[in-house]
Amino acid sequence: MTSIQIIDVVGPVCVDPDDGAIVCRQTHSALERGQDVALDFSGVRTLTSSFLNSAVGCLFASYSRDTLTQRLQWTGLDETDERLVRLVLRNAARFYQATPDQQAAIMAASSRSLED
Amino acid sequence: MSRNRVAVASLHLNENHQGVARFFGPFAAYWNSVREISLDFSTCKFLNAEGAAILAAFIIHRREWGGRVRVDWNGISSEIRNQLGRWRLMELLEQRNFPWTGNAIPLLHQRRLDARAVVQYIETHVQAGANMPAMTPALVKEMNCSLCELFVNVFDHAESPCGGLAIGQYYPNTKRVQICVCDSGLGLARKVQREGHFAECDGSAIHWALEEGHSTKSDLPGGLGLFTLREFVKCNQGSLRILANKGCCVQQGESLRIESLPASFPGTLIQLGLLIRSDEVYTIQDEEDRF
Repeated sequence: MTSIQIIDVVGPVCVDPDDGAIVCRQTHSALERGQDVALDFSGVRTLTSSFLNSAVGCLFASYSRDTLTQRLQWTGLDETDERLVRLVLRNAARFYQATPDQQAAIMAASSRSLED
Repeated sequence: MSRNRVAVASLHLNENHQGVARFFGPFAAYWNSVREISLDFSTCKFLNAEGAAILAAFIIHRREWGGRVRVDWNGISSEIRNQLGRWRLMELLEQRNFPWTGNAIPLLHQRRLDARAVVQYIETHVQAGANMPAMTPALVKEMNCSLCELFVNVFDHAESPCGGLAIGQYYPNTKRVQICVCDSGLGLARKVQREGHFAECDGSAIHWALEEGHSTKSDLPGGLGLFTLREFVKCNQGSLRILANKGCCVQQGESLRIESLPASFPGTLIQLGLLIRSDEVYTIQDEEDRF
């Protein structure tokens, strides 16, 4: 198990998508080496979806939902941030499961439902 | 009124979107033209944070292309002048600021994202502001996240020549904080419409951007920043108003409405109204236990 201390990598304010990409690269490398990964958010004061989309959402481009369920953990989050992480991951799973045509169809359908 | 004088109207605390449009209408011709203009505050009796945000964006945007903004200081009331100083807007007009901010949340301007500065801004000018009641850790946290998400959106999406700015006001009688984030870019509605959504209605285009998972970026998952902000506003029973191009979308507590503007705003203006409550818990409702 590889433990990545988020605060050591990018500091306590986790907002910038570019910082998220740094975490993503480290996580991806560890997963590629066959290691499970634990992301430790202890000490993080500000955590946004913009950071998490880049940090963990991007992993769905390379790994299945089942694989990440088994091999990716996170610690050091309060209840609010825990739910935010789950929201980001759920959103990312939906995004990568859909083909480009399916994504366009989903967006068009949601536009029509907002009109109705 | 001579050709290069712009009248600055009053903008009151609970002004609706039509009032805001009346306020920024006179500025429309001057965002990108006429090298030198003069602001006339003689009819301005009250200015809220939205008005301050529009003024700041206007001045900074014009500076980017070499335009200059002067003020007719003979016609401005001392109250308005001092309030501009509390907001730290006087230095944009090459004047001295008021020595203290009072209930004003002064200008934060960024040309590139500096999230740590946004968090420090909340700590210094909102959380520790004069007359501000103690804020729960949960509220502070959500305020940090909300403002950070809005600034990320400015630099990810807006294409704004003036960058992004925030400015606000605290109202002790109602225990309400009003924070406005503004840019002079493409406009949220136009950005969404470039991706093919709601070409006929700017307000609906803005609404689209507030929904879970809706993003104009197609290469990465996203579309959660404005959604989580909207969920926070619902929990807080606060308000969220987004003006962009000729559209307006208002979330007031649990209810949402879409409006059209009589004039086009050249950018995006977001007004966040939050109640400083001691009893709230902010947690996104979960669809599932695990992803």
